[in-house]
Amino acid sequence: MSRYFFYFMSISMLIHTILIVPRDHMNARYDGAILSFLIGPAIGGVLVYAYTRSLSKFKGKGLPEIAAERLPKALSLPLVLGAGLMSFIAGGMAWIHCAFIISKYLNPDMSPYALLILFVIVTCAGAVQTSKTVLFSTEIIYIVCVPLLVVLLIHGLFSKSMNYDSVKVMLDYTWVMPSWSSLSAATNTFAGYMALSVFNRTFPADKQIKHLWLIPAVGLILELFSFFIPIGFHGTDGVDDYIYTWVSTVDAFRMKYLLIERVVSIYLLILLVVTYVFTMITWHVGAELVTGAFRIRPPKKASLRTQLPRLAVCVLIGIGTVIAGARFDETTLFKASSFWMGIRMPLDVLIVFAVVLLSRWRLKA
Amino acid sequence: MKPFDLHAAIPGLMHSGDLVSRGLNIDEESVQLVYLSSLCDKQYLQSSIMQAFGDSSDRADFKNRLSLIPGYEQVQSGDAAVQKLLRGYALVLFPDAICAIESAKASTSKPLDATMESILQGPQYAFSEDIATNVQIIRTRYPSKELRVEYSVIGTVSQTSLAILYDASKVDPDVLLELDERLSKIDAEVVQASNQVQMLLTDRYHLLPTGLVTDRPDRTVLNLSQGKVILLLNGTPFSINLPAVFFDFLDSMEDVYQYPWLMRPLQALRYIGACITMTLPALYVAFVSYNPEFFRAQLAIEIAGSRAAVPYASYYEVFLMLFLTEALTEASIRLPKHIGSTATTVGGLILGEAAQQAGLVSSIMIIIASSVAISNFVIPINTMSYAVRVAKFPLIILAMYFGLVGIVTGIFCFVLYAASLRSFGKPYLKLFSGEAKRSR
Amino acid sequence: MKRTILWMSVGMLLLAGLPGCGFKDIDRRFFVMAIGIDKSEKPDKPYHVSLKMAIPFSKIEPGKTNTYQLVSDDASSITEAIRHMKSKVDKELDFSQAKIVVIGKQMSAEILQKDTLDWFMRRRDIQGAAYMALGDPSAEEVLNVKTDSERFPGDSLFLSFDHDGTESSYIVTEYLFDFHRRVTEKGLDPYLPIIRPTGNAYLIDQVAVFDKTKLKAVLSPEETRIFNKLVAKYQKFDIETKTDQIQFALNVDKIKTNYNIDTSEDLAPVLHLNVRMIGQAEESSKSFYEKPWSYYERLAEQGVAARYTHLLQKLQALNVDPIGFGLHYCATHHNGQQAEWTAWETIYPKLAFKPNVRVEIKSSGGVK
Repeated sequence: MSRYFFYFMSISMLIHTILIVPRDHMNARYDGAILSFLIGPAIGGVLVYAYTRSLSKFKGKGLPEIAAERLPKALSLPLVLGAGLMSFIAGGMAWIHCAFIISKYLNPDMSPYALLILFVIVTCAGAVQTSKTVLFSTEIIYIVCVPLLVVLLIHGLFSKSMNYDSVKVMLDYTWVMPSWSSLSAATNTFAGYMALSVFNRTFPADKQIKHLWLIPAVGLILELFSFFIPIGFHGTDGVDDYIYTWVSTVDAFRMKYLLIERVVSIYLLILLVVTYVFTMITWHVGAELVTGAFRIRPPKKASLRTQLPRLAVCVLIGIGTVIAGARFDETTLFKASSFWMGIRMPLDVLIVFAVVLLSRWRLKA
Repeated sequence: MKPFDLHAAIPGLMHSGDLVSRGLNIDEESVQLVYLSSLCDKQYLQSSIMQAFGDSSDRADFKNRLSLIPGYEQVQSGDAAVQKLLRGYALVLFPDAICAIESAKASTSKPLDATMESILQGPQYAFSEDIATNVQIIRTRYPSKELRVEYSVIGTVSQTSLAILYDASKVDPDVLLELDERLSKIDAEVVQASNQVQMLLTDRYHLLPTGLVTDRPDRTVLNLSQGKVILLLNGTPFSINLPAVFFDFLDSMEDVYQYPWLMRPLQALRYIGACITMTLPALYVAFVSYNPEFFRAQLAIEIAGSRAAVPYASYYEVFLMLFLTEALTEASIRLPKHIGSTATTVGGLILGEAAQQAGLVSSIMIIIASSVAISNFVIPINTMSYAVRVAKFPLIILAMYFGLVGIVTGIFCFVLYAASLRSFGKPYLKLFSGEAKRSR
Repeated sequence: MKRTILWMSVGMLLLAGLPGCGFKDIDRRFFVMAIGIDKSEKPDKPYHVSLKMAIPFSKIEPGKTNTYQLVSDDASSITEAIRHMKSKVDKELDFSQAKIVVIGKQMSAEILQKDTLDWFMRRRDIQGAAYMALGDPSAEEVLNVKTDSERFPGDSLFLSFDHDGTESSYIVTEYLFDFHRRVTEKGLDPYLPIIRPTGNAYLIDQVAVFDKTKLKAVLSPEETRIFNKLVAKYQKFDIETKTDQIQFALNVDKIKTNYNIDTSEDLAPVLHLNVRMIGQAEESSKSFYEKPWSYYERLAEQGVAARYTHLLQKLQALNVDPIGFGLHYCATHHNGQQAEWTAWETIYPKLAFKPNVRVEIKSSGGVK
C-alpha cells in the first residue's frame, strides 16, 4: 500500500513544480532560487521523514483521531481544522491557477469561472468518496499521465533547442542566499505528505514506508528540471517575459512524428487531469480533517447520507474558490499564491512538530 | 368408498387441463394417482408406480414398494403437495399420507454452441438451459471435492431455481455472506434471466456491470478456481460470476489459452478499442468545434473542406451518425438472423455513403462512426459493451459544452465512478490487485 | 413511462440549447497559414500585415488544393490590422495553424523591438515553435507565391524549414521562441533566413544576421552553409575541394562541433573550434584509390578550415554573435555575469579563430 504514498507525494510535487512554483522561482532566479533548490528538499525531506515515521506509530489512525485521543479539545480542534483548511486552500489555489491557464490556452473564449465551476463540482464529487476510492483513481491516472509528462521533460532535456550555455550562466547565481518566498516555494513542493494525515488510516500499520530518500531526490530533480529547462529554451532574460513559463516552454517543443503536432495541447490536458487528482486528494484530506475536527468519523460504507457533512464542507470551499477565482486577476493570484506559500511553510512545520511530539509522548506513556 | 378430497390435497390445481387424476383399486381399498401430464414422464410412471401397483397385494404393500422407488418422498397435503406436483412429481394419495415420486421428464436441453463469446481454439460448447445439466457440466470440468453446490429459489412467483457454486477452499466467506444477504432481499416476482439476477443483486442504477454473465463453461470454471462464486439460473444458458472487476470484462478466454506474447498486444487492442469507442465521437466534436489546433494543417483543411457541405453544427452530425449505427446494431440483434444481415448491408453501406453524398455528414464522420462501432465489438463481454456504448453520450454532451476540457473531465469522472464501485467488497477498478496466476 | 419522457425532454433541451461559449465549427474558421509583416508607406500606419488563408478542400491534391486568400491591411499596430481584416473575411480567423511568420526586409529593425515581437508571443494560438523568416523584397510577395507541388497553402515553406521534405544545407531554420531568446539573451544574437520568391517557387539560401538593434548583414549562400552547421547544428554538408591535381566533392552526413575560448594569454585570446566530419566521396576527377584517403582528407580539411575562418571573421567584423560565443564565455567563466559580459565585450573584437577541422572519409561511393 505504501506505493500510494509515493503517488500523492509525486502528484503534489508535479503540480507545484510545473503549475504553481515556476513563476516564483523565475522571479527569484538571480536572487537565490538555485540555492533554495538545495535547501528546500533538505527541509522538505526532514519534514517528510519526521511526519511519516511519527504517524506510522499510530496504527491505522488519522490526524483527527490522534489529536482527539491525545489532546484536549481546545488544542485538537484548531490543529486539525487548521490542517484541513490548509489542504483546502492548496487545492483551491491549484484550481484557480489551472482555470486561468486552461481558459487562456485551451478554451480561449470561455470565461475562467465557467471552467472553475465545472472543475469545482467534479472535485467535490471526487473528494467525498472514500479514501480508498481516491487512492485507486489516483493510481490509475498517475500510471496513465505521469509517464507522458516524464517523456516531455526528457524531450526538453535532450532537445536541440535546449541551450545549456544559458543554464551554465545561471550557475553564477548559485550561492546567493534565497529569499523567503523562493525558499518556501521550494519547500512547499514537498507538502504532499500532509495527505498522510488522512491516508494513514488506510495504510497497514505494520509496514513502514520504504525508500523515503526517493522523495527529496525526485523533488530536487523535478525542481531543477522545471527551473532549468525553461531557461535553456527561453534564455536567462527571455524567460522572464512569459507568465506561464512551462506552457510557453512546452509550446516551443517540436515533436515531428507525434500524432498531434502541438505538444502543448497534450501537456495542458495532462496538466488538467493531474490537477484534478491533486485537488481531489487535497480536498478529500481537507474534508476528512475538517469533519474529523468535529468528531465525525468516516463510515465503513460510503453513501450519500454519511458523506453529507463532507459534501457540505467541500461545497462551501468550492463556492469560496469560485468567488476567489472571480476576484483574482493574474498578478494578484501570483502574489496571493506566493504569500500563501510563505505562511504555509511555518504552519506545516508546526503541525509536523506537534505530531512528532504526540508520537514521542505516547511512547513514554 | 369415499372419494379422495382433491380440493384439500392439492388446492388450486383442480382445474388444470393437464392434471391427470386416476383412482387405483386394490381389493376394496383405493388410492389416487395425481400428476401433471405435461411435466411427467409417462414411461417412467409405467415402469415405476404402475409396476409396483401391479405387483402389490394390498395398500400397505403398495406403499412399501413405492418407498423403494428412487426420488420417493412423503409430503403434507396442501401447498407442499402442489409444489411437488409443479416440479414434476407424481403424487399417490393414501387416506393417511401423500407419497410423492419424482418422475419429471428428462430434460431435453442440450449444451448450446457458445455464441456470445466465440473463441477460435478452445471449448466450443456453452451451457444449456437446464440447471441440472449445467451443474453437471461444471462438476465434470471441475471435479474437486471442495466444490459446493447449494440450491435456492428466486422470484416470488416464478420460483426459479438457482444454484450457487463455489470452491469452499478458495472462496471468500465475506462474499458468500453478502450474497446471501442480497439474495434474501430480492423481491422480484418473475426472474428469468441471468442479467436480471445480476442487476437485482447489485444496485439498479449502476452503469457498469459488477457481476460477470457468461455462457462459457470454461470461463466459469476458471472463475471458480479463482475463488469466485458462480450462480446458475434455471432456464438460461448463462452463469453469473461474482465478484467481477472491470478488467475481467475485457479479458477473453483466449488470453488464458495462448502465449502471452501473442495475447498481450490483443489485450492492449481491446483496451484501446474501449477507449476509442468511448471517446472518439466526443473528440471529434471537441476538435472540430473548439480546438482545431490538434489537427495537422493538412487534416484541418481536409476536415473543414468535407464539413463545408454540412449545414449543421458538428454535434448534430455526430448524433445523427451515432443514432444510425446504434439503430443498426440494435436492429441486427432484434431482427431474425436472415434479415439481420440485409439490414446491416442496407444501413451500413448504402445509408452511410448516401448521407455523406447528400451533405448531411462529413466523410470523416463516416469513418468515425464505423470505427466507433467496430471498436465497440472488440469488448468480449456483452454487458460491458452496452455500458461503454452508453458512456459515450455524456462525453459528447460534455464536449459540446466544454470542448476537450469537458472530455477530460468526463473521463476523470468515469475513472472515479468506476473506482468508487465495489463488486461484493472487491474494488472494481484497482490496478495491481494481484490475481492468482496459477490458473493460467 | 413518465420518467422516460422527462429524461428525453431534458436530453432534447440539452441538445437544442446553446452549446458552450467558444463553440465554433471548423468550417466556420479561416485557417491562417502564414503571417507576413511589412512596412507600409503611410507614416501613421506603419504596419502592413498580410495573412495567407487556406481555402478548405475535402480532398487534397498537390498543386490544386493550395488555393488561398491573401488579405492585407495597413494599421498602426498588428492588432489593429488583424481587427480590421476580420471585417474583410467571412469566417473567424484561426491562427493555430500559422506555422510561419515572414518579416519584410524593410521591417527587419522593427521586429527586434519588443512591442512588435510581443504580439506573437502574447497570442496563445501562434505556436512558439513557428518558423520565422525574412521576406526579400517583401513578406507579402513571399506569401503570394503558389508553388505547383504544394498540397495546401504554405506547405512548401513548412516542408523546407522542417527539413522533413527537402534536406538542404542552405536552408537555415529559425523558430519564433528561439528568435525571442536571441533578442533578449546577452551573447547570443538573432538571425533569420531569407526567402526570395522566384516566380512560382522560393529560393531560401541566405541568412540575415542581426545585432540587438538592427540587421547587420546578409550572408552569401556559401557562408550560409557554414553558418547553418555552426548555429543550427545542421548535420548535412558537402565539401568541394579543388587543387591543381584533383577536384573532388565529399558528402558529409555527420558533423560534430565543439569550441572553447582560451583566454590564458590576455592579449591574444583564441577560440579553438574543433570540427569533425564524417562523409563519403561523391564526385572526383581522379580515382580515389591512387593515394591513401588521408591525403584527400587533409586536402579537404584545409579548404573547410579556411571557410570557417572566413565566416567567423566576417561575423566578428560585424560584431554579431549568432553562434553564442559570448554566452559560452559567460557560461564557462564564473565571476559574476556583469563582469564576464564586460570582459567579453573587450575580448570579442580581438579574438583569434583557430578552426581545427578533421575530415574522415569512410567510403568512396560506388566506384573507386
